[in-house]
Amino acid sequence: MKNIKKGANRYFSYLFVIVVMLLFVFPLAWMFILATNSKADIYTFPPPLLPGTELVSNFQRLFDTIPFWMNLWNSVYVGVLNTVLILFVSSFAAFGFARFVNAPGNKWLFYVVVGSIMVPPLAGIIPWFMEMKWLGWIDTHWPLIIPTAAYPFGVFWMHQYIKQAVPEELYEASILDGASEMRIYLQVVIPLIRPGLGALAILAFLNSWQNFQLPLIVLNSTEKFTIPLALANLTTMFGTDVAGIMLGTSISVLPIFIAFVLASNHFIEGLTSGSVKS
Amino acid sequence: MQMETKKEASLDSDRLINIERNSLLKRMKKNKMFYISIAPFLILFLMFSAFPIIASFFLGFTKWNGVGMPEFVGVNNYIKLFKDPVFIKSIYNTVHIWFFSTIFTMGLAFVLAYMVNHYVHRAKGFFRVVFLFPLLVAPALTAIMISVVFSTNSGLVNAVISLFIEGTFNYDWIRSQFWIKPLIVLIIMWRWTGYHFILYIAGLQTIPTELYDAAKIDGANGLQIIKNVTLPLMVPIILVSAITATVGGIQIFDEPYVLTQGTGGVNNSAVSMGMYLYQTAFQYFQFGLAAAQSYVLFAIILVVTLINAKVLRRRT
Repeated sequence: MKNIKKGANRYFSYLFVIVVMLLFVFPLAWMFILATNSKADIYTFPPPLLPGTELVSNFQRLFDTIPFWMNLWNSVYVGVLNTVLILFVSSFAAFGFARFVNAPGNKWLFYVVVGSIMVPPLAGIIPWFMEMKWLGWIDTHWPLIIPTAAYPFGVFWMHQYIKQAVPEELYEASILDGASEMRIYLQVVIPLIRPGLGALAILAFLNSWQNFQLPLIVLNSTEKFTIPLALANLTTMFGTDVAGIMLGTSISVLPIFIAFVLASNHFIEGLTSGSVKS
Repeated sequence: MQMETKKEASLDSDRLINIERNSLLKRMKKNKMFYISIAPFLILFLMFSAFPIIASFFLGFTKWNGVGMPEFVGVNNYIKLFKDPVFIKSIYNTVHIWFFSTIFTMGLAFVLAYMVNHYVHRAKGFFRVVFLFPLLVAPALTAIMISVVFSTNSGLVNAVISLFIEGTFNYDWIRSQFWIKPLIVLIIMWRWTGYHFILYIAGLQTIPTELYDAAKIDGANGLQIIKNVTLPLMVPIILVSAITATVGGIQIFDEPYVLTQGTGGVNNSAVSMGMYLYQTAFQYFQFGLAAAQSYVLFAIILVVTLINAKVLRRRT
């Protein structure tokens, strides 16, 4: 009796999990399917459920409408620069906090860092925008690269990582060997926290890649747009070209999907990091 | 005599302060590298996070169109805001979307995690990966995708409904004042279930099986076990996931903005606080008023987060 019940529970669970999974994957699959169908076919009834043959002409139309490669490149280079800065700024500050525990101010400055994780960035958006204006950064990519480089969560996370990965004795041994603090950071700490940096890099890059609000506020010209902004703009000016829009969306998520499948463990650590560890 | 000791004492304390000051300077000098290493972060943080948030507080008491000097108006902005029906509606919309999306996302994620942890023995890693896929798509792009699935003439949802009725079903979901909010809730669920799922799986795996066995011997049934064993042990993780959902949910912007193409929906039915703030500042150029809005948003996040923490703590 008990075994039958357990068996029933198991079948029901499998069924439920698989059905939900299919519902979750479906919009993604359909996005790729629509990207290969013609503009007109999408409006037939029932809508296409299989890949079509219009991929090339959809490509053509997409590139004629918006500077797609330019937008993609903007997203890539903004993302890479922003990520590199976050990695350096976060790990360097975290090294300071972890290494110099007795430095005056260490404790309360760290409280400030942790506390500010909870502060919503929207709270300061108006003066922030004025700063960008004042710096002459409107319609440039700098607002997306520089200000977000101070990432309190990144400092907090790298701090936890350094504490756990670098034993106190290692610092003392390096000092005895005559290494400067800068060399300790670069040649002792950095190599030991590489996995943590990798996960932080994934999180930082995805944040930048998916950002919509800040680009919307600071960018004005189409050729400066990042991908989410360019595609959202495409829907407003070209609302009926569903195939083109889905193709653009597909191209922008495909590289991320491939990277995810290849390094899913790092991604999972990066995406869920702080919550699991704190 | 007494005077002298007093004098001596004060001399002593002077000396002490001096010594302390010296040692503070000395300690700062000794830890010079600390200040160098946190400098890049601190400078950027002060310039682009701390200063704007403090300035925003003061700006909230002024009237300013972005040119010239802000004009001090006291609490007028706040009075104006709470008399503005659109602002009230934006608070209602935001809380509505946040509440339902949080409940449904966390509920679904918990059920999935519990099932996978207890009954699904094959392909656990596979499910972890698949449920995370939506998180890799930018919220703005997710909104585009969902608007295609629900679109009036080419949407799959209308097509499926058409199969069951006579003729074709051409419902306009996006322009429906009722359905626009469930659609946004659906987008959030689609995006975030995998994230919470992974948190819960990690938490469930730390609960020792002996506890379940003991509860079973005591004659507890499935639901009682979940209520009395699993949930109490999961509180810290549920708290983290609830707070993450809250801080993100109250700031929601991308999804309603893209779904309604920046209009906020028919009769402002999808205007979130973040969106109304954007409109006030960058479409109507009322920067003082927008700054006041940003502080109301800030306060609501704070209050909801504290309530979250309190409610969940009390349950343990």
